[in-house]
Amino acid sequence: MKGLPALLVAAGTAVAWIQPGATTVLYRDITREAGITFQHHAAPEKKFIVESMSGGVALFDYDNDGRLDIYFVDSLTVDTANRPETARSALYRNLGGGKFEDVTDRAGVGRAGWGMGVCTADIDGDGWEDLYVTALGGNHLYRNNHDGTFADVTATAGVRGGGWSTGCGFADYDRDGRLDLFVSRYVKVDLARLPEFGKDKTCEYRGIAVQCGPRGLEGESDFLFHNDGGGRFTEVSAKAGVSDPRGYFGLGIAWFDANADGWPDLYVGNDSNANFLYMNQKDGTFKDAAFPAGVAVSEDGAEQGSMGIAVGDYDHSGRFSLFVTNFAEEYNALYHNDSDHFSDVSFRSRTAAVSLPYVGWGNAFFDYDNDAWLDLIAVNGHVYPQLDRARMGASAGYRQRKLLYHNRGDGTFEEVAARFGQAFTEERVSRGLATGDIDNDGGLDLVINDLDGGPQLLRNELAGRGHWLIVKLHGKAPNTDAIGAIVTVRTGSTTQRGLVQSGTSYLSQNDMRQHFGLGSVESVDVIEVAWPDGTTSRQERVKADQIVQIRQEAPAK
Amino acid sequence: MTAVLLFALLAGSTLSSQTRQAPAPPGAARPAPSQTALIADGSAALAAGRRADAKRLFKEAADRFHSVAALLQLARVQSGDGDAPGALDSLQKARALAPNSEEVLSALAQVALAARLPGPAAGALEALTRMCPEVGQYQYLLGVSLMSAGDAVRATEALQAADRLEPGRSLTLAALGLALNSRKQFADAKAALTRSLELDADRVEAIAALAESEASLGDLKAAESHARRALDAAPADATAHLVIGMVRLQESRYDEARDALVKAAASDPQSPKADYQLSLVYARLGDTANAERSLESYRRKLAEMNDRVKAIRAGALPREVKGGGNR
Repeated sequence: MKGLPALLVAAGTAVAWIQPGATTVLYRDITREAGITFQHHAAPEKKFIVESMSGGVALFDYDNDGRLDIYFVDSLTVDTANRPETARSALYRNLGGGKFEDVTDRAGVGRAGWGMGVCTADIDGDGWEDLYVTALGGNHLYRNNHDGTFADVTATAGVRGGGWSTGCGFADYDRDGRLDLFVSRYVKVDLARLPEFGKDKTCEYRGIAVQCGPRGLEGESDFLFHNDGGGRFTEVSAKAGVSDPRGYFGLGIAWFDANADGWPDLYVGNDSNANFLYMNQKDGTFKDAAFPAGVAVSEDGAEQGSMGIAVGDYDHSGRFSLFVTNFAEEYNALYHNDSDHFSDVSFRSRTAAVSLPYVGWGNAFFDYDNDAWLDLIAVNGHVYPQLDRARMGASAGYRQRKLLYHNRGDGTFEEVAARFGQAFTEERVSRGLATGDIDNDGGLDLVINDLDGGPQLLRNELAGRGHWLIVKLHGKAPNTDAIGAIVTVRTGSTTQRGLVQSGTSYLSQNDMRQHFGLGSVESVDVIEVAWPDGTTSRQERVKADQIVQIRQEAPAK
Repeated sequence: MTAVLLFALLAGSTLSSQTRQAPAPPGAARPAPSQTALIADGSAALAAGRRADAKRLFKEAADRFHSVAALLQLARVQSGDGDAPGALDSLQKARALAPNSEEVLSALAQVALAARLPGPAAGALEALTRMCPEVGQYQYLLGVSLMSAGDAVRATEALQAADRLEPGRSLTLAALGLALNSRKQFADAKAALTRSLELDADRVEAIAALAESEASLGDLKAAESHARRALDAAPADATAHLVIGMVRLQESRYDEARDALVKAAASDPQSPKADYQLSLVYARLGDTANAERSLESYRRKLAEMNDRVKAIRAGALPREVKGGGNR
């Protein structure tokens, strides 16, 4: 980070020096040179909704070598449903130097069936990341064997689920120290009796025949698996009040502490229905407060087709706000956390209008230029390939570009994807998105799983990024990931917060390490950690541009 | 709310002054003598105020000779009697006999719009815009019909076409602004509404819609100013009350927000929008009971609105006009 341009430092923003209209290489697609050959499978025509919704991607360090590895989820199709070997999810080990190795077969995590999403956590407190893959027809829990292999412990753990599972995420909702698991589900599907393509009004879009659903189809309830210890879970969603008995079409989820009371709350994005915000009642139950909180529907009360969920303190308010991707001709919603409620600031923040033509999926708050302000990304792609043969109105086509929003530091954003070249402007059919620093250089990289095609590994190559800090937490067992912990970084008058989460975005898993851009600041005044059990740690005068390891057992000096 | 405004906009619009006169349909060009006599007798009966006789004679001519002219006359009498379904039925029969008659399609569109049946109106207007692509008024009416049928995307396209064909019509720009607001394209809506008001500064629905655009774009001061102006002219304007309520909500002045939103809900009892905002306001006031009551009202009205849109779409809209059914 030496040699920061003076103008950049003075402006306090890493994109200030970019000339309007110029194309600057910010992210470079290194998928091929990295050795990633994964291909996601879906039927070309997407005649059934089950062929449009996969798949997630995870960035996690499965072998504890300090480098982020990648897991891509693959899916079957109606035609290949009886040939599960045709879908191969894939685990890539990060070798360093921008190279990855396909270790799927050795790891034993390739046959997850009709895969949808993924989330990770150390579920048994052994210090090694385990892997949970949601799917149509039964989910998979892969326990890490510490030797590069995993064991499928789904049956003994009791977390198979069944039906059509989509989003997932671990959190210790009852603060008993063990990580529990929430799984959202989408639509009831009987492969022997699939709704006929284009058969009625619920199977058309802008006058053309398309796949049926989700409206017109029966939705599925959701699951909450309580971790009983000993590798076993019990499904408690009804008792906890999060079962969704009405069967809303659940997709992205995010655990976060919405009201800063120290207990994990849960946000669930539903397609074409109101979203849920389950507030933790601190007694093992939850109460849905999405409507009174103002995060159930759009600003004018319309139900939206919600897909991905991102959580972040984008304005240094000390509270975590929500960014939700939605269907075309709706808008990506930014709900600002005002403490006891949220305000829909989507249009005021200038994130909404530009999103109207796109179907949004994976999303994230992330500071791509390390200017100390969380930026936003949304990856897009329609669900109807038939769209390109019909009049589209205001909607973009089947393949769609990404949206990259630069945080202006005043509560507003500027959409800047077009300035940064093909990696962002190339039209694709994207689904899952995960952010993390794959090369530990302080720049946040991106990995995207596309429907029916190859993924993208985008390396952050922005010259002149600001200083940075990455905080890796080591919580007390069994929650060694410290999932639910809040990391606060203070530099002068600026205070940033990060939250350790399992499973966000669209059916995906971000790097759990907390990344902070620091702009021109070369050291951090204070790092504070609020651990999930309520204890705190504090570390002062920490130099920038390093990965800091903080252990709960050994409080910071 | 939007449908009410759109039909209010329609009140200032007529087809006859704008559209071409169509040639007489084939059945009327060289009528058989008895047909001519029946229609002449019917016309005489109508002139003499004997409407029942007129209808009987026109119906007889229509039935015996498949006369489009007779069906048009019959529909006119039925429409005058307030029998919109009867008039629509007669005009649908006429359309079956003369599917490319501009006169028949125009009459069908007018009767359907007057009866607030945007589905059949859109179907007729869709055909008219294909037959007469240079007539801005057909595009305008198609836009209004589509908007009422819940297809704001195509409504916008039609209204933009109307604006291109006949630039500088305040009415068209106001309707375009409403359509763009409903699609949440507030910046474009604001531009259209501002142009509309430059042409006709007193168009209340445009003033209120402009306030809505401004409130959504975060310009609370301008939004309140325009909403107040709309209320000065039309004290029961639902959109203006809604805007005042949303502005006060953003300012955390919840008591005032509640009062404005109660008025908005009363002014447009079918719309769920004010009830949703009221549920937020009551929640922030700590009035849980009223928050839940407003939420229930919102949910009920939302379901009713969705049912209405479905019913409209299930009507006579041509397939290409129908919006997304599954999303």
